[in-house]
Amino acid sequence: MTQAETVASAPGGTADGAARGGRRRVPNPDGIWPWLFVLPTLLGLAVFYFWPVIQTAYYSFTKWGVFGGAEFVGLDNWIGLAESGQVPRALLNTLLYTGMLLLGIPISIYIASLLNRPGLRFSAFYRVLYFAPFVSMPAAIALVWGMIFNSQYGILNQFLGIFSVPRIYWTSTEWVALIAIGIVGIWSSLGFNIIILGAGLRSIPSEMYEAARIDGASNWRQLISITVPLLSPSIFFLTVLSVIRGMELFDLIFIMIGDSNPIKGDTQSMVSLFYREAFISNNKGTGAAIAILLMLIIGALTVVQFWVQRRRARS
Amino acid sequence: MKRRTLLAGLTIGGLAMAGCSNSSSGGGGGEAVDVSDTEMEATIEFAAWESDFDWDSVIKGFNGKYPNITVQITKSPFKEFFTRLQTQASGDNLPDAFMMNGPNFQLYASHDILVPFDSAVEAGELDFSNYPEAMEELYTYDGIPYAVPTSYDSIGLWYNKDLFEKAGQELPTDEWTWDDLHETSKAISEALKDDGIYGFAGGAYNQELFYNLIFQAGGEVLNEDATKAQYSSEGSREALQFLRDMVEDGSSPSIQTTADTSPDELFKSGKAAMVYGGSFRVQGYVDSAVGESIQVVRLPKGKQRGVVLHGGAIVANASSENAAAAAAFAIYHGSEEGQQIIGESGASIPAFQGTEQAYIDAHPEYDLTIFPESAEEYGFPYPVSANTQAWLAVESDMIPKILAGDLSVEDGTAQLDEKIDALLAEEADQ
Repeated sequence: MTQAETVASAPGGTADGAARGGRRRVPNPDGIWPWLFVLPTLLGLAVFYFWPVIQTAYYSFTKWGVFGGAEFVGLDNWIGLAESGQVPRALLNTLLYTGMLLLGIPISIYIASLLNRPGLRFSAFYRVLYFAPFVSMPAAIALVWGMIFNSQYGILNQFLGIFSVPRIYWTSTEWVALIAIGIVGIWSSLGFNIIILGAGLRSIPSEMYEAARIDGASNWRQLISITVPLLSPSIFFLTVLSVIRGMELFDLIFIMIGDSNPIKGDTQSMVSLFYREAFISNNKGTGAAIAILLMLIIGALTVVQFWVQRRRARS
Repeated sequence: MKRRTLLAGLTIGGLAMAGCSNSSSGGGGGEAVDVSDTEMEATIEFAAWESDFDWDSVIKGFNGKYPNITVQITKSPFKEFFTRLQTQASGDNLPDAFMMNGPNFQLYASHDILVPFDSAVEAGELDFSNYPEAMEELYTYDGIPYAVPTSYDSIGLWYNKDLFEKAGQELPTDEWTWDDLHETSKAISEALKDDGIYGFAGGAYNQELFYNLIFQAGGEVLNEDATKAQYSSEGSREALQFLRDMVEDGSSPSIQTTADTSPDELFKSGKAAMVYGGSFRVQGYVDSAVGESIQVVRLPKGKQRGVVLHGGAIVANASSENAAAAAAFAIYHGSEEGQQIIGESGASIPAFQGTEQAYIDAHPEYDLTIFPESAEEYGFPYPVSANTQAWLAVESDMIPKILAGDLSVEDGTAQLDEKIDALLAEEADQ
């Protein structure tokens, strides 16, 4: 839900809306009509989003038999989850991954501004190149990167071997595996980020750069003083999306961290923990509790992001 | 029930809501069915996971006996099969007959979902003495059989003759012991170190590797009534220590290496001289680069001989209107005639003893007779409990750590037992 909201309001809207100060209540002269127009969408959302969320919240307080039949058990699932001690590590892993995804944004700004230099040849080709990972299947991406990261035969270790770097077990060393996953995450999100930032860049009038150049500002200075501030609505939008996407990490872990991997238990994300509880261990109640917890965390992070953005816009 | 099911389907995102036609309260299980009427009329749905079994021929054979039963088969990939089945079960919408495996069997048997076959046994329609004993044990719950075995897997020691020659070592025999395996592996690893070739590709698989060793050392995975884990029993520790030693002295690659490249991949690409491989690997090995230079012998013996047996089966849905027809199909596929057809597809060893010849004949270049022979002589059933998947997840977290040396065998197995005991106790409450 947060996602839909963000998409609708982020680029542009939020910043100047908030800058004008508090919300004003506009009397609605159209009566019930606007509601009727959004009713089909609302109905869909209600049936496929709100109701399941409410149900999931309810099931997190039940012991759900393998074949149906939920029995109310109060806080048992939540207590069990706290006692199992799996959540802090999974949350830490997820947050680290999310942090790495956020690092992808500055990289994207840099690449996007290169791609948007006036007179760059083949710029459409480059854009396709960067966007391709975004439209590829995550499972395929994970498989290919798994081969690249293969400790014995992977191209990355072969390459590093030229500089006599000792063999690195990318996907089976604690913490290192998380970095490997982060690299893949950044790589596959670049395309989307660049497209969004590219659109933002094109809305910056070229006169500003001309004026800056006349004043003797270097390229770097132009990037810091003109591009980044004027891109801030797009950057904010990407930050919110990256955090949500990062918190939902699952497929890369599922495919890149194999079954006989010694660090499998230490490299769980919140969603893979959910999958494991709900579908492997058949504790669907506990699974529901993890899902709700994750939703609350994502919600809280998003609220904080909006708050920070609003404060910055005001100052 | 109906309402709750619908909501459940929505929450989990499955499409369970499609069929709630069967509004019986899900009880109904556990009643015997009569399959003697070969003229019965029905259309049944049979769910199978994708494999090389030739189901069309089995169904054709079945219709020779029961001409008025139409069997509609639906296939899904193995990875989705049981998730899907569970969603269908929650929605009271299970297929009439479906495939089953060891780790999931008791979950279904204990929830009165399956047709019991004890009356068919009494009527002489089904005789478990035709199948390996371990298979009967695997598919019996509380003394009652609830499934008809399809086929089984057994494990052997595969080796690459070229690599043995290159390293100047003598080829393995059926009489090998653990020590022979260890010494030879070490010698090969040392001799072919510069080529990055290992003597033995271990890894951390259970069915293909350490369960066998545990049984050979006289250890156990679970105790008799599956209420306690036994990884810290003497034999189990010995088996894990043996594997740990192999990794430590380089006879076998590090666990991190086999996490990236599975043991059978190493073997197939000529990077390992030996591997413990299942009877189901044959097709993959034949087609690999080493296909012409490999052979298979019995597993080396420890304190005793042993091989873990696992295999698929077909079960019938007790709450189906067509339970009798579904049971008839399951029973037919397990009969000598049905098993002959299954063997001919060469995918796996048919469970009916005496019909394995077709599987063996499919690849005369390998000594495949060792698979059914060792299964019959000293097969141990694959360890299962009511919710096997739950503790398998713990096992697959911890065993690689133990074999990699991140945890000592002693501490690791103690922790493993403690965690799994808790899960088994939870099962008992359900």
